[in-house]
Amino acid sequence: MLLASYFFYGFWKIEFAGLMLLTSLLDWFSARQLHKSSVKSVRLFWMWFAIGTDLFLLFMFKYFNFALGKSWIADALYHHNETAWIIELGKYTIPAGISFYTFQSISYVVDVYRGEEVPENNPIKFMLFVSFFPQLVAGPIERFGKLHTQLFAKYSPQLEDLKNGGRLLLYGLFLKVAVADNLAGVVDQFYSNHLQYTGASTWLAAFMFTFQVYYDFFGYSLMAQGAALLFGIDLMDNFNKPFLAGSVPEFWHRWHISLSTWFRDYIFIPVGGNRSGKWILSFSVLLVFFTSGLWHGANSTMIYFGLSQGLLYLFDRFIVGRRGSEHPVGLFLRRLKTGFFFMITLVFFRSQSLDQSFDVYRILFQGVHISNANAAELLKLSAESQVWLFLTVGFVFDHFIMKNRADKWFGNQNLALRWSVYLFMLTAILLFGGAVNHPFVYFQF
Amino acid sequence: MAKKIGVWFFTRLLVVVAFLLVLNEIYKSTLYPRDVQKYSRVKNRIDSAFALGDIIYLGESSNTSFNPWTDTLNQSIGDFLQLYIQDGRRVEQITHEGYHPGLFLKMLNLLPEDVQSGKTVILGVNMRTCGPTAMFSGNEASNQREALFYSRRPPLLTRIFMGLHFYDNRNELERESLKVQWWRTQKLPVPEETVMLWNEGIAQNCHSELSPEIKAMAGAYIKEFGFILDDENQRVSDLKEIVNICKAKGINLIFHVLPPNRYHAKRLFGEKLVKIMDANHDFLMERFKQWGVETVDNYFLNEANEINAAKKGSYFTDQWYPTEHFNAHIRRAIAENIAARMLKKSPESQEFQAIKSGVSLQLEQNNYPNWSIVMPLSDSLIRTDILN
Repeated sequence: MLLASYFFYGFWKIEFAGLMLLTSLLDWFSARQLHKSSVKSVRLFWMWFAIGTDLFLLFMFKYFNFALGKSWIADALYHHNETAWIIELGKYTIPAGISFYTFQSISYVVDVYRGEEVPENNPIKFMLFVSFFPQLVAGPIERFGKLHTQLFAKYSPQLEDLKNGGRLLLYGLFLKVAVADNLAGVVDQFYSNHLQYTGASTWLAAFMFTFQVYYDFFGYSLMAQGAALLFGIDLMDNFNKPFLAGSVPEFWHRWHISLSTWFRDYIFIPVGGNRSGKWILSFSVLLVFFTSGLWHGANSTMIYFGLSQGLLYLFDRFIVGRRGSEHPVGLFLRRLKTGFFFMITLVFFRSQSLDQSFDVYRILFQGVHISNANAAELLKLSAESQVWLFLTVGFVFDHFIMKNRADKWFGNQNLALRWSVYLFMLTAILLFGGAVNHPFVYFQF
Repeated sequence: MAKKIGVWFFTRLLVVVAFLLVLNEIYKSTLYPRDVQKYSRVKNRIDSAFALGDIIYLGESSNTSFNPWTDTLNQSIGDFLQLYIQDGRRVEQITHEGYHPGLFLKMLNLLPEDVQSGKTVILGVNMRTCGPTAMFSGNEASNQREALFYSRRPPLLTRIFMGLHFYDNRNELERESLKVQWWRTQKLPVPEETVMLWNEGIAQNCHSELSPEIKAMAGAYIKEFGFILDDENQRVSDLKEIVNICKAKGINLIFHVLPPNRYHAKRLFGEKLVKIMDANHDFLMERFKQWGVETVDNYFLNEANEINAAKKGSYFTDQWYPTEHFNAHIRRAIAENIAARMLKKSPESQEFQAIKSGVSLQLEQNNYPNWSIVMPLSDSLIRTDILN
């Protein structure tokens, strides 16, 4: 499994497999060292050594162009043939999933420091925990205690696991290829020429991107779960019907759950969390969302995305509170508001620059058009009927029909219905898969 | 347990395979024609061109591009060729912007062997497409997607490959990195040694008297033409494979080498870059001779040379970037040379002169670059920057 995982990762860029190996070995070693000592300062040193080196590597490679790329070091390296490749590698590619496996590895070191986990003696086993291929490049970010136990438990293939794994793979592929990729085509069209579209088209693009990013990432997460289940490993659920959330705090309990809980356990609570009054809570929330923004990418748009979500979180928490949550209409309006907040902040997430974000906001909220085009010359964004069909099917299935995880839902249906849905999804994937290549949105993180 | 899993798996596999067979038939008769139209514009042209034509001209944008401001004759090279071929043979054209030998090879692979014998394929060889800038162009992913349809595989399989992006779909950033790597590592016979250093020199310190526009243009010329051809070059291998396929299918193949803008290259760098371009040209001509393929060499075409250009202005329609986009003077002259080779006649023959004079009046009236109405021509700036 370890070889398969490294082959999977190294097949893309062998150099980056070396980087993952380095992270794994450093954290494995540091965790063992800190566990050996009972002196707090020594234990702290090894924990911070591991976290520091992990974050340093993450910073250097993920934020390369932001950090090293423009420095004199880069210039010096670039002018020697022996070292120039390092600069080219960093400049044009980001190690896929580096944020995911780095966070997973950090959580292990911190858990060992806290005494919640016993360090793994075998470096090979630890390397597999970091590199387990189904969840390597885009999560879910698993905890050592849960994944490690399953990885090394005695396993014999179970028919039920194969069935459920296959179901999750198929459903995830449907959401990614038929729903998200088709939406991506419309969204890309808008963002390639955003000033030329009408206000209504701008709203449509914002709406469609919300569901593109959701089904892209949710689809991936389901496929990761499905692939892992084929080996008898049950990964955590990363999404739980986020658009049914009545508030921003609730939304983040339902969206990218593995990252949200990571931030909760390793930043929010240690900084103070919700036990020390409003000011500390506000600070903790903003710190978490600022870090989350930065985690998504080293550019100002992502930081604005994170901070705007943080501010809306506080707005919902302190101002809206639980108003209207008891009444069906109130609940509906709360859900609408939460989805709307998310959709609006995603403009930062999708835009190539802050200027583009503000252009889009101006069109959305002021109806101001920055281009010189007359109203009659503005373009109307439109989507083919299949885009709407798959979006509707995806949303209704995901949020209203499937009360629990997709594999369980399929398992409870009769043969005819089950296979009708399978064949529908298969047809959608095969005949209507997006023609333009859209890599998983979260691969870049 | 293993037996149980095996039975479970194979029964489902059978159902899925049967479903896929049916789906393939449904797709073929419903959505496939629409997908071909949408994603592979020239696919249908391949079948019709080879069915109807005796001579098939395969070209990239140089076949059809013309300057809309000055070039009122918009006949393509293939159209002009048909003017000269008056023996009843029909010229058909397959043109696609940004195409290169690798993609033409896929087209030719598609052709059945039995019906092609005796047909003539004329392929425009654009030397620039052998360099890294063209080879790793951002358009390549969509070109490769189109080429998925040049196949006899079941249509459903093609659709699956497209939906799952099962082709060379490297993104622009990945291609950019390959370009940069090439520019950095391939040694050139110039003092700067590599494209990277040469370009940096121009951009940063040398020639500070040059305007930014000319620096950008000079950089583009270096990046487009600053490479050394060898047998490892993918495009060279593709050309060789095209020769082999045409021989195997009994197709008469003619390569014709397109003229690059040596005039601007010379204005910008003297002999430095032109020497590299000429060496690549010599390399190609030597290989074509070795492979025994008939070649029409338009590399030094009179209409595209510096003497005429200096006198009348360049006939290249893109003045700021090195392309093989010509006005009607060059397109006609290229066609004439090809026709002369095919018909074994001299361009000076009475018959050819008569055809030429038929279009020459229009050419004279309409096709000189009009220096006052088109976008600022680089040539005037080069003159200001370098000659003065």
